[in-house]
Amino acid sequence: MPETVTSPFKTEGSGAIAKHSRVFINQLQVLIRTSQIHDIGNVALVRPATNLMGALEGLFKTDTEFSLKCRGEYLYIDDTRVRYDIEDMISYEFVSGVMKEKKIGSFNFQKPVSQDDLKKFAFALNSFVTPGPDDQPDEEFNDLLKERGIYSIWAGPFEEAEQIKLDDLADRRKMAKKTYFQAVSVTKGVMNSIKSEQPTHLKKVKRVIQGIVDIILGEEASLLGLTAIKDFDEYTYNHCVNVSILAMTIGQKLGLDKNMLTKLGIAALFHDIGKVDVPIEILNKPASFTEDEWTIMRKHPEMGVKAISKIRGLNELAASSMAVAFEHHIFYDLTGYPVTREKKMPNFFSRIVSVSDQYDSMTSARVYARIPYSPDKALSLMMERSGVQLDPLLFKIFANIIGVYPIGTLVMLDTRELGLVFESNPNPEKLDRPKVILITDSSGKRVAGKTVDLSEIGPAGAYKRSIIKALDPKKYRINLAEYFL
Amino acid sequence: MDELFQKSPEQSLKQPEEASSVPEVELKAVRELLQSLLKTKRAFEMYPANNPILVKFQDDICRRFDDFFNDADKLPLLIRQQEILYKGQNVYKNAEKDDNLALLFYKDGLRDLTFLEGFSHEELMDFIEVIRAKPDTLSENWDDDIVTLLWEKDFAHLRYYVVEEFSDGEAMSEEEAQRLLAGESNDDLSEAYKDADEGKDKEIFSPLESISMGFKGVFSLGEEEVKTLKDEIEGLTDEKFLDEAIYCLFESLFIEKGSPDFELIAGSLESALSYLVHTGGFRTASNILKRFRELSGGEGFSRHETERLKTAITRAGSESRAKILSEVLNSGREINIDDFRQYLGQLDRASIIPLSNLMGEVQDIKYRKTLIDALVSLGRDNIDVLAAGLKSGQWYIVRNVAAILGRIGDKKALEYLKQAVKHPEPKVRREVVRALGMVGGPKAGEILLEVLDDTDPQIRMAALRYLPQAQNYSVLDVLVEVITRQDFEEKALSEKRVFFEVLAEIGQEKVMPFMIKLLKRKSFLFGSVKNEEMRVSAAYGLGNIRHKDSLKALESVSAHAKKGSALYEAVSYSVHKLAGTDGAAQEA
Repeated sequence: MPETVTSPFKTEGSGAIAKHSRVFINQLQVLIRTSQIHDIGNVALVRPATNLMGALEGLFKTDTEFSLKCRGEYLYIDDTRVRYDIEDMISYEFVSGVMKEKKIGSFNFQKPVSQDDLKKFAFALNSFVTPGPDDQPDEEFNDLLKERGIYSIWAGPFEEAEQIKLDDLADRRKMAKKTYFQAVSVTKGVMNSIKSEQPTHLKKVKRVIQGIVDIILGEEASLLGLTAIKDFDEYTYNHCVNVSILAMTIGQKLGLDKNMLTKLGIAALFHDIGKVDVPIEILNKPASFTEDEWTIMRKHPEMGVKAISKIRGLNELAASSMAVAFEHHIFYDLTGYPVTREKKMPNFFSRIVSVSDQYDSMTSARVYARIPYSPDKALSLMMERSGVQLDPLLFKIFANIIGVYPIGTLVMLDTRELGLVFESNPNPEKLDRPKVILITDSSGKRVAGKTVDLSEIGPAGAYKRSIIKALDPKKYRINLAEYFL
Repeated sequence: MDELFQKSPEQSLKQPEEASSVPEVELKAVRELLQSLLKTKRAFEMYPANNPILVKFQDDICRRFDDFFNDADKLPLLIRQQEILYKGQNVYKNAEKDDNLALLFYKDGLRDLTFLEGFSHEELMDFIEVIRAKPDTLSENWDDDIVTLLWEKDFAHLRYYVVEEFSDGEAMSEEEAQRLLAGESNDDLSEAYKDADEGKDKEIFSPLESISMGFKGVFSLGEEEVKTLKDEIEGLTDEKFLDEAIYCLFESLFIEKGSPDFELIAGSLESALSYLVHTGGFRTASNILKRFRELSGGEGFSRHETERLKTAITRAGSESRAKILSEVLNSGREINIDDFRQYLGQLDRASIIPLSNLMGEVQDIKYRKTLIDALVSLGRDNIDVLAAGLKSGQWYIVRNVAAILGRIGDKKALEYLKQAVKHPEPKVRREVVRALGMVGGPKAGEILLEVLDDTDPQIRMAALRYLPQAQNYSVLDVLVEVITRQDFEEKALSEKRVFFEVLAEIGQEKVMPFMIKLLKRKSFLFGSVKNEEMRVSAAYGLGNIRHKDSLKALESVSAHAKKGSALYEAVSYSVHKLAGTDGAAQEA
């Protein structure tokens, strides 16, 4: 039975709209922040209000009305998720943070909106105190707006994170799972055709990576969960796919566009392509390598260059893959292997893959380390290597993705529930508050995995749940696949 | 989720009630729209951009889409192997293999294509670009299909549905998932509780705990850091990646020193070179050649390896590579002329003939000039190789080679040019004459004299004009002999004038009496026109002899010449010329 490979999720708007959306969020942030420290008549507000007007005009071009929505961790203009550049990350998180804090799901803007409206709106927002759980924050805020004579802007209801998840998480997970397995299968196919020196078709690779990009741009967590499962049969292929997913997730945080993400994903998928020439006995050796075996293993980067050379002539796609295959074991301090004549900083993609590769290798049993590290132990080790072996900035981004409690970690909560960390908190200040799949209730009884967000605040104003201990799920024979697959 | 993706195209097929209710006029509109789409696609293949016929097709397809969306909010098309359906009705049918719109989509797995209201002209043109994309036969680097290209374009108003047979993945997915899920899971987690309560697993978090007090500082990026990353991201250009790959290949070349795989890497670098030339990446391409040149000079490579690198340089200038050059130079692609010059500068003598041939094919004059410059510099030490181009069967190549030989100015070229001076194509002979003039010298003069019999007066005159540069006084006798020949009078005045001017310029005082005599020769009745022309020509000639007698003779004729006559004009011109040139004539 045929199946779809194209994701239905629209993740970024085309050209101009995408740009206006980003400027809009940026300027909204500036206006809100500026009005926290100045009076409404202050000249300091003129510029952000003018800039915001400009962005509004751009967005009004296609319609007389639009809405800024906050769903989960993301902001949307109408139904298109706004993607952000690394530079816009701060304003993006600020605006979504304010909306979550005030429990307002959307702001709707209808033409005509004046500069005065915008200023008054920012002041109203800053002064608005979120009411108790029985009241409706959006309606109360709308009353406040009307009181101040603003009719061109109004708020919409807030959707709790869980509610959103229930809507489409299952679908997304299903799609993620399907795509993940397709990727593993395609990787296996390509590796085999390279090994047997058959003509290699990269169309399928490209398609499958495009599918992953769609998912990552929509919701990366489901795929990251899959990378935490380490019990796959032929781990070599899973490792390739995992590194590719981790690298693309870093790329997504960096704000790379989808075509660049595809290129990164393909390069990452092929990073170990040189291993097709390493004898299988060595690759699958259950014990540590001898010196001779290490010598062979260490040749895989240069073998990678040869393997890619054999696939086809050089083009842009092959070029980035070649660079990554060759450089992913050359460290940030230019040590590592292969030893080159001309010393230079590895390519940006190579450094991204290096971070992703180290993590996945350390946390899985069959690549290099015979005994896998627990995710947090791997991350700690990587932190020590940051700035030496690993690019420190890319490590920071990576640590943000994986979190202080990495995905797959078993945690005990103050409610005495046990859970598996499923998704890290994108707010760097709340890295200790990831999303967790509950596996036991407070009495220790196994429960079907329900996802909870540890940054959720209860009625009393305190966090509903907090981590008190972290544990290694392997030790207690918890099958991650059961929850993440 | 968009409903389009929830229903399979098979389902939308089973809607007979919808099918029967489609008005014929609507079906006709869709049919014509698809035909127009196909025609526009073809027009792109036939005409260059901005061609009025192509523009007409583009306008037509845009108008049809606009008209359609005046009455509808979407245009859903169901793709089958040989036909396209709209609301269950056939709107396109083609059983042929070529130029088949249905098959084009079908073969890449597209089964449903829906254009949505708001589909802009820009999107439409992008869409046409996608459907007319063709495999790049030259570089074999065709990793795309309609689906990947559509995805890359990221259309805001186009939805599509794709099927793909990932049969292995399907089976594997099911099996593996089953196996993984069946993995033994422990229901009793009391041990975990016990460990947690006793703090047994605490140590695994110690490194992170130490930083948990200040996540922000450790995990969030400062302004400088954001800027650093932004610069890195901006540096992610295709050109940079190619440079990186070239770096890796050269490093690999060293690693493979002495290994049979040296050939593989050298071959990859060569294929990279081809690709770079094909895409106009001359900067990187010239760097590759430069490195080849450096490395072939030593660096511990074996003789065989060194020869291999030299061969690569030679092959870079081969006929087939020149063909690629010609394609890229004529493609309209923006090319950095300095990079191109650098690249040509790295080629060896084997490229001389292919590059000479290329000159005739390249349309843009600035590239032709660059090629000529390169050939001038390459040909300087390889006159014989370059001159072989004079034997080409294509006249324009002979012409170009002659021009280059002229630019080089090496006397060694004369013996080759001599053979080309009788070339049947006048354009060639003209260029050869010019080259002879540029090379100069007595021998060039001798060859130029042979041209005085050329059938083309323009060429004869050109040869004459270059004679003074030959500095060969023996030509004087020949010139005088020609002038005094009976048939000389039959030549046009303009040519006669040049003869006399050149004769005077070379012969000066030696020929002055002869010229004065001619100037003053009166004729009566018969042949007066011819005689007058000889006088006029002599007058112009005397203007080139800076001598008081020549001026005197001219002035005396001037006093009697009829105002407005050709003779008067000629005499006045020469008097003015002599008197005006710093008074040298009087002093002499």
